[in-house]
Amino acid sequence: MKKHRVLVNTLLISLPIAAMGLSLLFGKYQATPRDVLNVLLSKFSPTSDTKISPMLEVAVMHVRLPRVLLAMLVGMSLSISGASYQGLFRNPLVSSHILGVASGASFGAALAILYSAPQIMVQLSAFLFGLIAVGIALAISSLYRTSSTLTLVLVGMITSAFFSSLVSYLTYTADVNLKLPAIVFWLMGSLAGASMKNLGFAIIPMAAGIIVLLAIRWRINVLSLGEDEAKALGIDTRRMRIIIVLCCTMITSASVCVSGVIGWIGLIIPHFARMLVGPNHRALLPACLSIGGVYLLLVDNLARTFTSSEIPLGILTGIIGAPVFAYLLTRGERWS
Amino acid sequence: MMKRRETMRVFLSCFLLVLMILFWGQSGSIPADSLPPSLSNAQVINPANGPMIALTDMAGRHVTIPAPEYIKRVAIQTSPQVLEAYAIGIQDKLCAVTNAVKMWKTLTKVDPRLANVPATRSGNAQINIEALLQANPDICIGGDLDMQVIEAATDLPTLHISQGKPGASLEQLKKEMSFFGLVFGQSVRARFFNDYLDRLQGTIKSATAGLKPAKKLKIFMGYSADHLTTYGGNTFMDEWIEAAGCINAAKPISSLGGKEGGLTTASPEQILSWNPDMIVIDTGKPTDLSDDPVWSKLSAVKNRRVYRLPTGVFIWNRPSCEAGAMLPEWLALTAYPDRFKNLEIGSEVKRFYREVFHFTLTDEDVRKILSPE
Repeated sequence: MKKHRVLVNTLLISLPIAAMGLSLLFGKYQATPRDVLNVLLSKFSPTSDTKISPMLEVAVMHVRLPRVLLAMLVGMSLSISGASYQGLFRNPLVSSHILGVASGASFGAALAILYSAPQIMVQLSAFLFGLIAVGIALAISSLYRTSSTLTLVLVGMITSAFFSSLVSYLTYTADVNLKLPAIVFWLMGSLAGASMKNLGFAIIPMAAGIIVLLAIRWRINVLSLGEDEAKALGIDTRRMRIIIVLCCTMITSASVCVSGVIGWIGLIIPHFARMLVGPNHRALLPACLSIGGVYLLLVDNLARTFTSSEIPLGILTGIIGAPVFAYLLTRGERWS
Repeated sequence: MMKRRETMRVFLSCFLLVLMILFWGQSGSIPADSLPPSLSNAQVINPANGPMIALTDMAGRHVTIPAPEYIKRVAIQTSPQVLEAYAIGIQDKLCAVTNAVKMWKTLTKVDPRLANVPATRSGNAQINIEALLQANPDICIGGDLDMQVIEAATDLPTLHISQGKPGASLEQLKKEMSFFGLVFGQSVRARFFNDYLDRLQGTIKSATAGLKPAKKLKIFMGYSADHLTTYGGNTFMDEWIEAAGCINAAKPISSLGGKEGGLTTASPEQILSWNPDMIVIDTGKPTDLSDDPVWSKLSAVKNRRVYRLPTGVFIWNRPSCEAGAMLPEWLALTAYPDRFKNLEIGSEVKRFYREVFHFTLTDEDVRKILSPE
C-alpha cells in the first residue's frame, strides 16, 4: 500500500515536469529537438557559441514556452477549483463554473469584442465580469436568511443563466461576418493567443488562489462533512465559504480570461484524482494540480499540432476526456 | 397505481405541448384549392395582374414571377445581394432587407431611403414572416435557407441565390449580377458591372504578368483582436488574393466546413514559419504589431508592410460585389505599388462608386473607407 502511495506521488510530481519539457519540443514551427534545447540552454549560459535563428528563439521562448506554462496553469487552476467546489458544496457534479464565473467572463469578453477592443481589454473585461458575476451571486445569496450552500448554488445558477442569456443576445446582435466568429471562437476556448504578457497577467491571481486553497485544504475535509458538523467542529463555515469562493473565482476568472471557456476539467479531473489518491483533500488538491495541469497540457499539444489549423481547446477536452473517463469508470473507483 | 397514471398524464400533456409548438408555424399557407378556380396563386399575390415570366433561379428551380416592369417591391434577404441591387440600380424597389445591411452606415449615406426600409431578416434563416408580409413584396430573393423559410410559411415567389463553388467566387459574382439583370430587366447595368470586374482583373493580370512565383508577395490576413483569425486555402479570399497576384500565406490551412465562409485560426508558430511579406489586419493599428515581441520579429512588421483592411459600404473581406471588385485591386496596388504607377487607390474607389453605384464620394469619405477608425 505504501509502495503504491510512493509510486503515485513520484508520478504526480515528475509527470508535469516531464510533460512540460517534452511539450516544448513539439510545435508547428519546424525545429529539431536539438535546436530547441540549444535555445533553452542559451538562456542559461549566455556565452553559447551555436548560432540560433531569432525566429526560432521567438518561437520557443515567446510562443511555445508561455503557451506550455499557461496550459499547465490553466489546467491546474480549473481542476483545483473544481475539487474545492465539489468539497464545499458536497456535490460531485459541481464544476469550477458553477457560480456563473464562466458566463460572466464570456459576457465581458463578448462585450469587449463587440466594441473592437484590443486583446488586453478583452481579457481584462472577461476577468472583471467573471468577478462581478460571482459577486452578484454572493450578494444576492447573502440577502436570504438561510444563507446555506444550497442557496449559493441556486443563486449561482441564476446569475449563470442571466449572463448566458446576455451572451446569447450579444451573439445575436453581433455583426455576423466579423464579430460573431470572433465571439464564437473565444467561447470555444483556445490558447492560441498565449504570450508572456498573458502569463504575467494571469499568474498572479492564479498563484495566489492556488496557494491559499492549498493552505486550507484540510479544512475543506471538515466542510465536506456537512454544514452542522463543520460548525460543531469549530469551523467558521461562512468565512470559509467566502474564502474558498473568492479563491476559486479568482483562479477560474483568470483562466477563462486567457483561454476562453474550457469546460470539463473542473468537473472530471477531481474525480480522476479521487480514484488515484482517495477523497482526502490533503492529498486530493495537490493531485488535482498535477493531473489537471498535465491533462490540459497534453490536450493543448494536440490542439496545436494535430491539424493544420488550431482546434479550439473546449472541443478537444470533451471529445478526448469523455471516452477516457468512461473507460476509467469501468475499472472501478474509490468515491468517498 | 395512481402515481403511475398521473405520471403518464404529465408526460402525455408535455408531449402534446411539444408537438403543438413544433407544428404551430407550419399552418401558414393558404392551399391553392381553396381559391376560386379562375384565379391562380400568383395573381392573388400580385393584384396588378401584369404579365408573368417563367425563369429558372440559381438553384435550378422553375419559378414564375412578374415581368420586370411589374416588380414594384422586392425583398432581399441576404446582405451581399442587397448591395447587388444597388449595383444594378433597383434600390428604390427594396421593401425588406436584412438587419446587417441596416448597420452599414456608408450605405445609408449613399441611400438615405434605406433607413425607412424594414429589416425582416435577423440572422441565417431567421425571418420575421409577419413583417415580411406587411412589407408586401412582389418577389423575395435570398439564399437557400432563407428562402425555404419563406416558402414554408407563405406563397410569395422566391428566387434562390445558391452558393457557388469555393474557388470560383468571382465567376459566381458575375453570374449573380447577370441573374439580377435578367430578373429586373437591367441586363445593361449587370453587363457593365461584369465588364468592370473583368477590366479590373485584366489590369491586375497584365501589371503582374511578369512576376515570377518566387517574387509574389505572401499575404497574411490576420483578423480579430489577436490577429490570428484568417482565411485558409479553400476559401474565396484565397482566390481573391491570387487574383491580386499574391499568395495566401495561410494556404496550407483549410477550414472544416467554414460556417462563416472559411474563417479559421492560425497559431503564432505557423505565422512565424510562414514569415509573410505583408500582413492585413482588421482590428487596431498596424503599429500595435511592432510593439509585440512575437509579431515584431516578422519581416512584414520590420518592413512596415502591415495594413488595415478597408471598409467601404461593407468590409472588404466578405463576398460582396464591392469587395470582389475592390479588394483584389486594393491588394494589388498596395502590394506592388511600382507596377501600378498610373493608378491611385483613392481615385479607383471613387470611380467604382461613381460608375457602379452612381454615387459621388468626397475625399473625406474615401479616406474613411481606406483607413477605418
